[in-house]
Amino acid sequence: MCSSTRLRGTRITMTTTPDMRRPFRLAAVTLALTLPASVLAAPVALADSDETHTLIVGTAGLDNIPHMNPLDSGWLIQGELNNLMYDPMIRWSQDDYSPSPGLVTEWDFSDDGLTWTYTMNPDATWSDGEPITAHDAKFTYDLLMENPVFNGRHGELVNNFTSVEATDDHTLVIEIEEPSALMAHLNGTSIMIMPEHVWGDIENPDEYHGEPGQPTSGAFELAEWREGEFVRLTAVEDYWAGPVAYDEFILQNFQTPEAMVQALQAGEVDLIGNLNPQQYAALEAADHVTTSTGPGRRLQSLNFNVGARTQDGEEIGDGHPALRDPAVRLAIHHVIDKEQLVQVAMDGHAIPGVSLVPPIFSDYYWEPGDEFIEVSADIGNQILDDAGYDERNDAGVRIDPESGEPLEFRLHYHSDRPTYAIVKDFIVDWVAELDIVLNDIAMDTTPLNEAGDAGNYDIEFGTWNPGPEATGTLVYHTCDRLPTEPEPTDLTFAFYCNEDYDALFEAQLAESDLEARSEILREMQALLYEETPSIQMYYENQLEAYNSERWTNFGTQPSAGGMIREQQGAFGYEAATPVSMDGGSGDDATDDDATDDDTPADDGEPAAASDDDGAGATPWIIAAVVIVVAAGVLLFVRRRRTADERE
Amino acid sequence: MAIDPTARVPAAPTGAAGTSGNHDTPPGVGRPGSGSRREFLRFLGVKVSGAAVSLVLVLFSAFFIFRMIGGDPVRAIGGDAPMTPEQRAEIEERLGLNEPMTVQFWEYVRSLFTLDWGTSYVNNQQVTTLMWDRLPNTLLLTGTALVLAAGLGIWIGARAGWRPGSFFEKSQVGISLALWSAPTFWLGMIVIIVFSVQLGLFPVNGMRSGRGVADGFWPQFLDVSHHLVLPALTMAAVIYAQYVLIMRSSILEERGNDYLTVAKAKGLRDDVIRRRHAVPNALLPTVTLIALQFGAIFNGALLTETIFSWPGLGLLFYQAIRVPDIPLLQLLFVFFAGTTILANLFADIIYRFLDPRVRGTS
Repeated sequence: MCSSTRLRGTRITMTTTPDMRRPFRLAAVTLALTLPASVLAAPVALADSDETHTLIVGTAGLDNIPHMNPLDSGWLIQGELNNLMYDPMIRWSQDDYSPSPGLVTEWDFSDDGLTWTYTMNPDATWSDGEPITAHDAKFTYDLLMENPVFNGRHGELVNNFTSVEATDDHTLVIEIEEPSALMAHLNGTSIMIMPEHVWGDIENPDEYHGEPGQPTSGAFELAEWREGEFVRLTAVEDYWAGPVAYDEFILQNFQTPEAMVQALQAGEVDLIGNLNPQQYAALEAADHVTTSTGPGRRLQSLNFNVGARTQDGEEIGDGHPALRDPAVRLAIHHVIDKEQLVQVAMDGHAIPGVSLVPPIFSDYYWEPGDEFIEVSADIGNQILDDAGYDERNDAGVRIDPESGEPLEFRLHYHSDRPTYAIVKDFIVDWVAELDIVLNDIAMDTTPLNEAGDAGNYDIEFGTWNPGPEATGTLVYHTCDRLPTEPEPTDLTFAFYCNEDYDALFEAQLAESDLEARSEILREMQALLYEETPSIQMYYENQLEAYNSERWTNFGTQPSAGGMIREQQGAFGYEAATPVSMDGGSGDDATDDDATDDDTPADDGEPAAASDDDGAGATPWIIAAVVIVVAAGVLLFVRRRRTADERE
Repeated sequence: MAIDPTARVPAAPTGAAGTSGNHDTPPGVGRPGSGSRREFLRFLGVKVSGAAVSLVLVLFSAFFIFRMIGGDPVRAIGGDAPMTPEQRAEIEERLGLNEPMTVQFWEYVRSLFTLDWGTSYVNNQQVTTLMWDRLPNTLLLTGTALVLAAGLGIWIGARAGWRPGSFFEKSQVGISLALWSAPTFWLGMIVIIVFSVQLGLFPVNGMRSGRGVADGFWPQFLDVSHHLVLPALTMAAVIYAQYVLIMRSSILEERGNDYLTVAKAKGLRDDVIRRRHAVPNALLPTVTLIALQFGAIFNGALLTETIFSWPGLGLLFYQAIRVPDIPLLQLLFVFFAGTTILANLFADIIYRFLDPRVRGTS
């Protein structure tokens, strides 16, 4: 009985079951193969439908932006998007950042400098076809004066206005209280004009979040914003200043710069910026990628705590008293070898720092000339000796004669910025030559900022993106920026206050003549260089790379060897042309590089995208074949083994 | 006496009745009658109240934990440009950050009852909306990864445990442990470099292509599936070792049992004995693990989602904590912890149904 059962059971197992299971197994294997194959095949199928031209720019930090309200934009990325969708009254020129026509074609001011008249471009229209008029400008400036949120952003300009009038459709007259150099550019791209016929109906304009399809004055309209993922803009076909040569613009967010670099190499994005030197070097060797570098505006600084205090002189924070003495700061300035920092930190892709205005803003940039602070520990030591710091403690560290404390300073640096970790080692060693000790302390950005705002530091690393209007940066060293109450503030750099500097600041602001104003601005920079509340280590170059098989003709600012991203304008993106539409009229550098890298084009029909995707299909097909063959072999082997067992 | 131990286990997954576990009660273990039902209710009460206590603790700690980590949401909202004290005060008032901590706490407690979790600091949207928007993306990624990991892990674990000391066992356990030990962000980058950049097989980033995808369900489905492959495989590669190890040790335990000897004596093929007799018995601990992991699929995969910019709950949490966006963090924390607690409770309960031995001893 048992035996019979066993035999029957065995027989069933041996014959019926495998036979019955085979169709299921085959079906399962087929399904398992079909699904991945269909997924693998997806890009081939997708490429066929690629008829529109979309410029995809990879970026980090898109998830930081809280909204896309053009009048309440605090993030660089918001500014970048605003530039694509709106035109300012007055642009910063592509050539050299000088004020140039935007919605306004010309402007003039009265002899006393208190009445400014702006003539609007009669051809300018909103993307819905409505004309852009002086009434729109008046509506916007009124909004900036009355709405507290907007006024917080733009009060520096508009709080000086006494009246704004549109005397006709194309003439705007602004009366101001004090003469102001800002009127010559109306803060450029920082302030965009909104359409009165739409915004006039918005009940709480400061709560405007960014709606798709709203009329714009620029080259693009907002089409879609998937927060934290991407922003998609569509080109305005009849943009009054001349439409762009493609259909869509996408700003794609990445959580890590490494993934962004890989995405460029994989052809998923077309342009990326803010690379570090290592990423840049790696991309220089990559096929179909062209790298681009140009002087940028981001500067890296060492900020001293020159004596944190309120405007009334009440001390706050715990800064070292010796750093209030300009001699100590100057001595340290003498041992910072900025040329070497440019090499070690940026692999040469930077310019040694001087003052707060980077050299790309050539109208105001100050060259130190004879006043250059020479790199010399001997001079630094001499300055300290002469200033009375000639006593040393048992450890050989100089002593502050007034407080009796050794010159031992904390150096705060950002733990999440690898470059700083390299730079600080050099700085600690150099400063040690002055018999001054720096204790480097790595901190997360938030606590580092909090310590800095509260004056609880001696020396800290910092970075800043100056704009073309120097006032916006130089104001951070005025006495007015010290806190009124003993509370933390991020409105001052280094808690610096100097009446001479303040007088120069007021003078330049009231000066309408560009040359005369530049002189004053340079004088201010010279003063800061000598007094050294901060040491400007270097101005970083903007390191960028783009897919030159797909795109060409990116505009740079300044036009000679400048940057593509983070411009004061949208020249970079607006000039971009798909290679397939370029017809050989691209800029030289791009063409040369693209030709070097290019696979031979067959018939002048560039269509980089489809060529690329066509070639890319081969590995897919090979992969699919390999999978099918492997599965077949696997099944065969398995069948053989089962057969063995059956025997 | 003539009990066929091989019949103790549901013969095949098709035997639906087998899942109840009641028909195969081994000797010595009583069926749940009125006495055992009371016992079961007591068991259920203990477990549910334990879960409830945990949940309450989670609800309270959610308020404090994110206020203790520091950070300055006002600065994060203001942007790159520094702010005047007036701007700062305006934002603090709008966010309710100028209120005393006690007031904020009572607001939070009130929100627990009204289920109004508030609006995000960053973009002024309801945090529940943000969470529900991202949840399907997370379920897609983690669900796929879990299925892959469990399937692969059980399959490998069963084979490895069946032939201890074999090359297969050593190599597979070694590989799975190596992947388990690999940092996810590193593995993710390697996967991207190899499969996206070098081989060009899969996209690097995100969930959808920026260009070239036609409208309609199938093109979109294929596009999302194409984006899903690498993150799902990476996540599965990292977690499948758990299933391998548990399945392997369960199978090892089962190997010496008499019922398998009997099955062998009946002349069943080795494969069949493993698959139909040993594996179903050995699956019990694995089922518990799956139930536990069921909670994890809601939690997102913070690292995987971040590396691949997969817009799920893990990435949302990462983005929120950089601000810190406290209302959003509170909701996500409670949701993550809540689903984990519920999954644990679920695991406790189904394990009791699945394994009669637990019923007997509890």
